[in-house]
Amino acid sequence: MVDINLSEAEKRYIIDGVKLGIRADGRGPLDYRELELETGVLDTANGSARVRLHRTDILVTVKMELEPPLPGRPNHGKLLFFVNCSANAAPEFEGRGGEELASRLSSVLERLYSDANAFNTAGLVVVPGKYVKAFYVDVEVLECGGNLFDVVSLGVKSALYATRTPRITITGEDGGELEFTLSDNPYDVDRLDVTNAPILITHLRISEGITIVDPTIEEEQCAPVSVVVGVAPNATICAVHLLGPGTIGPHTLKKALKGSAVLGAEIHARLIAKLKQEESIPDRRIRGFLG
Amino acid sequence: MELLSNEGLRQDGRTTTCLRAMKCKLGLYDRPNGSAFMQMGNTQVLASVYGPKEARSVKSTTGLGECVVTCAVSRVAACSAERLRKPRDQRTRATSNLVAGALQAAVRGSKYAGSQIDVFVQVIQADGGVTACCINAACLALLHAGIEVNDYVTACTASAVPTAAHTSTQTCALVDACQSESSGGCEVTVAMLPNKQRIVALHTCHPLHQSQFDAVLDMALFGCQQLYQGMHAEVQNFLKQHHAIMSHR
Repeated sequence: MVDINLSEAEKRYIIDGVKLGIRADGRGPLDYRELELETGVLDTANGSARVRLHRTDILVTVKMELEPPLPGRPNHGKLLFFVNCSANAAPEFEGRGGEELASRLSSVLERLYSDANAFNTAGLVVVPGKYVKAFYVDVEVLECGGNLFDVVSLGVKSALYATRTPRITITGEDGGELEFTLSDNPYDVDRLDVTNAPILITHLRISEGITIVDPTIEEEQCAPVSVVVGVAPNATICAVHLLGPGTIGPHTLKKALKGSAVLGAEIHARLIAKLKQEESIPDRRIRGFLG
Repeated sequence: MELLSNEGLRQDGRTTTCLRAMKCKLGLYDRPNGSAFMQMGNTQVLASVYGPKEARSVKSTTGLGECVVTCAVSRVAACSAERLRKPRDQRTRATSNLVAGALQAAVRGSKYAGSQIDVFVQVIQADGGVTACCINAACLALLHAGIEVNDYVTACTASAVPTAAHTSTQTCALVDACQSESSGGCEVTVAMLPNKQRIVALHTCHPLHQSQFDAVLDMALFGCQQLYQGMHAEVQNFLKQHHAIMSHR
């Protein structure tokens, strides 16, 4: 991903530390860092979220558009993912430099949300067969400092949770074309159901039998292979991706999967609690990038 | 809807000489050498600076060891009312060139002969005066990176709208136009070195009568000076917080 140079001795220090059960920043192997989360940061989007985890900064925006449905799916809305790795994050991302990472991220997200159990697109219809709601989820990577996949998935779920679209009512018909109006009451909105939306947990394989979650950018340099596990809120595993050039033993993989399910359910509960708490604040002041 | 009421107030309640609420912040990220965030009303821009480093661009090899400032502006897909399909296009490239030119004038080039300074600007939200906001944010990011400059470079827009009470031939200049004001009238972006009183960039793509130009230009220059006050206060504040003085890092 992003290059930082560590010497062999520095890598050895981190790896040996993990083997002894303590990481360079004092965490245990399955400890997650504190993350900052704010929704509603952009006025121009239907939903948005900014997530910061140490040195990783992600901005997710959701915008709704009315579009004709996909062929053969007249009663299903669309959910589309686009990732852009900003050159702010690393000069290597300039121009087309970030495209490889961006397409890998968007394809993982697309597959994660493609299942009807994860996110149901069935109800997102305005005129069956003619107009459905298309939700464009745009992920902007503003800083890239380790554990990117987890942060992106948390940002996407938060932004979808915070998405509010004006209620659309069909008012009449004019020459075969249906007319519809958008409600301009800010409280008369439709929301998306993200109760089953999964998140990603990355396990970095340090050595056989030992994996760590929420790796820092330095730790990511020490090990080539990581397992990205998609976990639903009910602690079921819905996706597994093996990233990086390297090998992983079956028992290490099984252990990682088992750990992810428990950890994932806990993070889901914490995330929803945080989002509900944020929502309950009346006239919440948006801190945005100034906070 | 009138852009200027009979009482001389604009749609958002400002007078003609009133700028939008300006907020800025230095030092958001660790990886770039300098970073800054600038907000002018609903326009929000993030800038980061990498460098000075060994010159790599084609432009620098042809010159005589001059310092090269490159700029790349990109936009968040949801930054304006319509979703953008591409973060970079012809328009952002034009803005990039304008920003790079304005910064080139401010950077003390002789100090960084043969070096390159890369500036990346990310438009988070666009509501008029995007180019100006990009220049201001990039200037703050340069300062945060500790790059020696001859002067600040600040930019502001101005617009001309017909006065409500009179016929359409009479116009009134507005400072720091938002999207609805600039799309109805015109948008003149001016960047200047505020202490040296020099104009470094001027851009408009709307027809504007010559007789109105002076008033609009003066209004933009007035806006630049106002922004300079605000930006300088924030830089001073930043230095105080970090117990630093203004010198090369």
